[in-house]
Amino acid sequence: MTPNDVRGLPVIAFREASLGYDGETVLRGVDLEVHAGEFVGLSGANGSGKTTLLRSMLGLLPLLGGRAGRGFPPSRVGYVPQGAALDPCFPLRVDEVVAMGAYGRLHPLQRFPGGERKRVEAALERVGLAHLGRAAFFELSGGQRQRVLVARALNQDPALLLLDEPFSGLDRDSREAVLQGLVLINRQDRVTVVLSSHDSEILDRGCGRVVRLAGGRVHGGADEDPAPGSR
Amino acid sequence: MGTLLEVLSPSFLLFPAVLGSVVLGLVCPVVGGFLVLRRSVLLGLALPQLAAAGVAAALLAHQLGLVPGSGHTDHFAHGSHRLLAYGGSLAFTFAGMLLLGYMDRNGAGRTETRLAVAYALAGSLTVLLVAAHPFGDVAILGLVKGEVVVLSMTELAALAISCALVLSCVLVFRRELLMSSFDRDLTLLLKGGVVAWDVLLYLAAGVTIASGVIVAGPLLVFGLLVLPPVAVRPLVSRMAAYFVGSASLGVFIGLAGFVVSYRLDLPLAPTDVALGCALIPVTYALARLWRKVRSASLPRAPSVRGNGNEPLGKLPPRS
Repeated sequence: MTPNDVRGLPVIAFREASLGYDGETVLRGVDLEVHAGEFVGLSGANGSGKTTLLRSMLGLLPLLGGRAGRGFPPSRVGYVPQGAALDPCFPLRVDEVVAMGAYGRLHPLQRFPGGERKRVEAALERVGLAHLGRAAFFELSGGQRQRVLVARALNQDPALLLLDEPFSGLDRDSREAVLQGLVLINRQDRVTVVLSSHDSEILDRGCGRVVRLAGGRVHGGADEDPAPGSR
Repeated sequence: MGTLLEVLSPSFLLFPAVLGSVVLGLVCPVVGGFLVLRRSVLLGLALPQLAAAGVAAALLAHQLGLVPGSGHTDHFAHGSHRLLAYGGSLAFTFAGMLLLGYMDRNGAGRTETRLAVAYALAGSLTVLLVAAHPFGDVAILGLVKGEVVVLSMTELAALAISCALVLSCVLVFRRELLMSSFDRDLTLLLKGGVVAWDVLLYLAAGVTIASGVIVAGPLLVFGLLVLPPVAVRPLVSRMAAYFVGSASLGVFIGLAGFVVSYRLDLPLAPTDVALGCALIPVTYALARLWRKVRSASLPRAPSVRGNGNEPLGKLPPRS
């Protein structure tokens, strides 16, 4: 039984939505539902609109048309950006990066509590990097950096985990390790996972449902609109 | 050593100037550290020059009788002129920031191009305004360039209060400023927006620069904003060390530069900046040496260079 066999309420829903930047539509007529506990892959070539869709799910892009709903506050969304999107000039240790996941829970005058330190350690433990807490974040390999960012997202105590191209720049073994880690998080914690990749083969193997993006359209976003070539 | 003890003595004639250098050396690198990390170093170059143009404009307006209570005078160092210059410095700094911020959001072209144009414009405007002043380069140049050696105790107190406010602000909101600099999307999700944190940082930068330029001039302020963080960066791997190291190096530059300048009778700002520049290759060489020593003593460090595909193992259930 996969997690998608028992689907909860929709946590994200788009209806006839137009998505894009500065009035320029990238995706139109988007009908998409993501249910609690699902593991959904967004597949498509470079420039097909995967990042646009993810950022719209996060609420970082305003809708250009149609309707959208989210069943959780933004602070419960664990977002894992592309590793290359972060500037390596920041002198950050791994535990400092993971600690950022807790910043939403802390007010400015509050010191970083001991309980939060334990959560940072636990999050690193969960992604198998507890021994690297004091390492420099940007000295890690691409795969390790991805896992640190997953740990940061887990530290937010997320209801939904969104990952933008988490396999980008990783070798095959690292991709497998990251994918299996995400599958475990999805199954054990019932965290809904949505990730994007242009590698449809790994998505087909690991995800409960694959939504395909092509020609400015989303295929497989709703039950009545199956993805071409999907399982 | 004797010179150091002499300048650190409260009875030293230029003691307020020494303290002023130390205060600027402490605060400028903390604010500048964020500008360096955000790759907004050019802002640290353009804003001090705008502040200097503001000083020149305010003094010219005063001389031309455009400011209430103003009139012709050939003495520019007393308190009211300092206050006027501070007002001009603040006004031009914040007007420049507002304009640059507006253009950043709505204008075409690249940010660095706009900053470069702002720097060139402010530099030329400063020279033209000084040239237009009847006492031009003789009397007001000190205020435009910033002469920390003529700092009075009152001015020092004003500088210290401004800098204390800025430092407190940065310390209290350090997490928000770091997060909004490093990952803007995460800030949007966890804090609901980034604009407030951007405004806070640039407000802190504006106050520091406007206060600093009036006592130390654009060259020294820019140097202290940028050089300590750049010099410290290769030596540190965590944020707290980066800011503490930058501030410590800034204080060292402020103090050591003052001693050298006093001892060798050199102008203060260029001495400090030269010292800061000289430290950069030293810290990079030290960092390289440290990496060699570390790699020699630890032939196989814990898998920092691993490929990330180590087994995840069985994950514990979430509490």
